[in-house]
Amino acid sequence: MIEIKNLVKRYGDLVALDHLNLEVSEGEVFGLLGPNGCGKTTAISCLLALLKYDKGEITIFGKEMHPDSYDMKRKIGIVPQEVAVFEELTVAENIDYFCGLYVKDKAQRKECVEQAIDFVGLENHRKMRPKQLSGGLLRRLNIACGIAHKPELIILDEPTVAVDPQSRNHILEGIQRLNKEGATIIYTSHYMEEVEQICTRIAILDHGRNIASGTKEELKRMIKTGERITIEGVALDREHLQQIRELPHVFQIDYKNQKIVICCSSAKQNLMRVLHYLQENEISFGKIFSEMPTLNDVFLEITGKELRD
Amino acid sequence: MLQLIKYRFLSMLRDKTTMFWSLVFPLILCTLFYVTFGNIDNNLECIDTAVVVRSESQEAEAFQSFLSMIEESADDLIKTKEMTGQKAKDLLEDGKVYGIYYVDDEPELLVAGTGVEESVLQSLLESYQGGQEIVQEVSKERPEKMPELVKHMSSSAMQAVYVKEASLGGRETDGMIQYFFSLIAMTCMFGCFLGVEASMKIQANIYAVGARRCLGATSKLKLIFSDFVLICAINFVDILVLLGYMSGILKIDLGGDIGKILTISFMGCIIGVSMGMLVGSVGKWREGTKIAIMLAISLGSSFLSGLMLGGIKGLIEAYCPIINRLVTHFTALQYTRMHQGIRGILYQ
Repeated sequence: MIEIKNLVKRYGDLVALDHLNLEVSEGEVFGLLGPNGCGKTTAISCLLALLKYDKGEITIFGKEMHPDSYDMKRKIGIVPQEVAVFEELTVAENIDYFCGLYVKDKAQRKECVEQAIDFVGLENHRKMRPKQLSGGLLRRLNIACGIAHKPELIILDEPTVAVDPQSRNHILEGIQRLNKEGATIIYTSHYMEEVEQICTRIAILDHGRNIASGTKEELKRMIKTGERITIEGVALDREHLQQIRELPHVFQIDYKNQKIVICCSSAKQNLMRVLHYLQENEISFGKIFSEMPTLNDVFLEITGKELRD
Repeated sequence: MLQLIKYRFLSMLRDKTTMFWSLVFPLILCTLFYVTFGNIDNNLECIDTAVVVRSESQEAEAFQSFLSMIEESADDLIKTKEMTGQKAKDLLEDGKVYGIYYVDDEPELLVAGTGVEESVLQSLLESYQGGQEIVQEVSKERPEKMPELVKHMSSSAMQAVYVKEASLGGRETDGMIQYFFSLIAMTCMFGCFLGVEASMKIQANIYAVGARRCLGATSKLKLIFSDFVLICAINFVDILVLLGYMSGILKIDLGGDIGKILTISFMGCIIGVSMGMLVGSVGKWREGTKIAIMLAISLGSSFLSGLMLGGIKGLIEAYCPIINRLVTHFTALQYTRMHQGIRGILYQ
C-alpha cells in the first residue's frame, strides 16, 4: 500500500530523513517508533505531500501523491500530532466540517458524523466546544475528525501525547477496531508500550533512518538479551558477583544499591538457575522478577541509548 | 461547499476577538468620536493671529498674500494683525493671539498651546509649504488666480470649508465628519487582518487545522475563495451595522449619498481582505511575522503618504516622486487615507 524508497529530507544542514526505506502492507497496523526528533512526523509530512523532499520515491496505493491528488486523499485519514480543530465550532460541527471536505452527500455525511461520534465515545459532548473538553476528549475529537469519512488508510501521529490512561486505552482500542474493520493504520509514537500493544509490524527510526523493522518478535530476536532477571534487596560480595556472571547464558550483570540486573541470552531455566544459586549460597533477597526484552532493549542495543533519552 | 461556508461563517462569528475588533471596536470608537467631536466645529471661533514681517523678499510676500487671501476667503477662520516681534510675543504670552506667523523666506509659526486653533494654524502653514512653489509662481505669473488657489489650499487645511463647498449630495455636512469616514475606512481595512488569518488557516506549516484542510479532498482554491467571499461579506455587514449606528442612532449626516458610501465601502472591504490574504499567503513565515509585515506595510505607507509627518509628501515629490506614485496605490489600501477617497468621490 505504501512504499518509501531512499527518502532524503534536509532542513539546511540538518538531515531529517536519511535514505529512509519503509513498506506498509494493506491491513497492517504499522508502527513508527523512535525518540522525539527522529523524523517520524517529517516522514509522514513527506508521505502526504505536505513537505517537499530532496530525494527518494514515495508511492501510496501504487501512485505518487501530489497536493491535488483528491482521489487518493479521499482514501486517507490523518490525525495530526497537534489537535487540529476549530475552537469556535462544537464537537459535532467540527466533525461535520472536516468530513465535508471528503463527503459531499449530506445524508451520507450525517451518518458518518454520527458513527464517528459514537466510535470515539463523544455522544454526551457533541454540543461542547473544544475548550470545554479535557485533554483526552480533545484527542478523541481529533481522531474523530480524521476518521469520519471512513478512510482506507489512517495515519495517526502521536495521538496519545498528554492523554490520561483511560482515554489512552480508549484510543488504542479504537485503533484496533478500525484495523479490524479493514483500515490500514500507520501509528507513530515514542511510547514503546503502545506500539508493542497494537502494532503488527514496527519500524524503529533514529536520526532519520530505519534502523530495524519487523514484527515485535522479529525485532526482539535481533538482540542478544532474551531475559532480564532483577533481584532487589540483595547483598552480594565480589565473589558472588563473579560466580553469577559465570552462570550459563548470563552475559551481563549490573549491581547497584543492593539491586542486581542479570541479562541472559534466550534460554530455558534462566530464572531457576539464578534462584538455585541464591539458595545454595544462602543468600537472602527481597524481591525477584524476570522480564522479556522490550522494544527499548532493542533500541538500546542497536543505538546504545534509551528511547526516552 | 455551502456546508463548508456555513461552518466557517459560524467559526468566524463565534470568534469573540475577531468580532470585537471588526464590529464592536468601531462602534465604540464611533461613540467616542461622537462624544468628543460632536460639537467641536460649532465652538471654533475666528482665530486671532499675529503676523511679524521679517523679510520683504518675493517668497515672503507670497506667504503674506496667502495669509491675506485666507483671511478674506475662509469665513471667519483667522484674523491676522501685523505687528512687531516683541508685541506679538507679549500678546501670545497673554493669550490674546493663538499664534505668530513669521513672514520670511521660509515662513514659521510660533504657538503657545496644542489646541484646535493651534492645529488649524499649523495646518494652514503646512498647506502653504506643501504648495509653496505653486503659490510663488502663481503670485508672480498669474496673480488674478491667487484667490482661487488660496481657497483650494485653505480648504485642504480646513475640512469644514472643503466639504461645505463641494457636496455632491447637495447637503451641508459637519467638518468633523472626516473622523467618521476614517472610521468607516478603518473598519474596511480591518478586513486585512481577517484575510491574513484566513489565508494562514489553510497553510499546513502554520496551523495544524491548515494541514488538515490541505489534506482534504476539496480543492484549496475552493476553500480560499469561500473564505474570501465570507470575510468580505462579514466585513461589509460590519460596515452596514456601523453606518446604521452612525446615521440611525447617532444621527450623523454622512452627506446624503448612501449608495456611493456603500459602494466604496464594499470596494474597501475587498481591497482590505485581498491585501490580508496576499500578505498571509506570501512566504513561509510564522503568524507573528506575517502580522508584523501587514502592520509594517500599513504604517509604512501611511508614513509615506504623510499621515505622521505633514511635509513628507512634498519632500518625496521633490527628491523621489516615483514613491509618491507608488504610495498613491498603497494608500488606497490604508484606512487613514481611504477616507480621503471616500470624501473625494462624494464631495468633489
